[in-house]
Amino acid sequence: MELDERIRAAETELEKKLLIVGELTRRLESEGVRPIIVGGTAVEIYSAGEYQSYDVDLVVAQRERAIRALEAMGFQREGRVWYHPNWDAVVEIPDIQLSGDMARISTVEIDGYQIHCIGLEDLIIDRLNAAVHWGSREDRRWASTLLRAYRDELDIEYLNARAQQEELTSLLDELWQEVQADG
Amino acid sequence: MANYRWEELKARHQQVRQLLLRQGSLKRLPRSRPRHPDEERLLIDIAVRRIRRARAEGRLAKIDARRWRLQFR
Repeated sequence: MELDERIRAAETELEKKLLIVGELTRRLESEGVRPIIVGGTAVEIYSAGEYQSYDVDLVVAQRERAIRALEAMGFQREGRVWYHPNWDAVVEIPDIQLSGDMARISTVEIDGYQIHCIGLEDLIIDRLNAAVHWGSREDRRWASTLLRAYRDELDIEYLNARAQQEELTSLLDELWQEVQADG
Repeated sequence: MANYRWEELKARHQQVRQLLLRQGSLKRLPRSRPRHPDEERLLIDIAVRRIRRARAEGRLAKIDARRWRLQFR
């Protein structure tokens, strides 16, 4: 099935977004460029679609190449984002450098594509940062959700070290205490 | 009673999204009214249960230390 048909047949927004990122990743990786999903779409992936975001945030070291690939796929610039009118999809490249460890990114297989996503520990740090600096209770809630859902699989040493670097230790400790109190 | 066709609503939705995009305001705004702590705890519990169910059913599968598979069907 052609990409356009697959996207139109997608049953969820997440599936549609990941097919688009899959195609973008396929095009860019052949040029040695690796786009990495960060932000809300990363939370959607690790929550299997439980969380919902509008756009896809990508970190791409060579932003200009990514823009060329997006435009070749039919995306058009709308302010600081790229919008695809037929697919009603929005992509943003907020950064060229990952706020986290490149060695910890996850590869996700979806429908014949491979996409790359910020590591779980770095994503939790991202949500904690938003909770502290924006006063966002929603981000605090999702940091807590991810801690609980993946408590036995996280690299706690790395998570604690990053929390310390970013002055998030007190919120992280608070969330761990809640996790332990709830069993 | 007003009658709407799905195609019209869908087109309007796209127009609204484009307008929001141009204003740079498509991103979710922080919730201004805090939830009750019990509601927040309940939402966390439900989300954790759904993630665990997705993994138990194989919709989200960890296939290696840093490798995952996501299935929609």
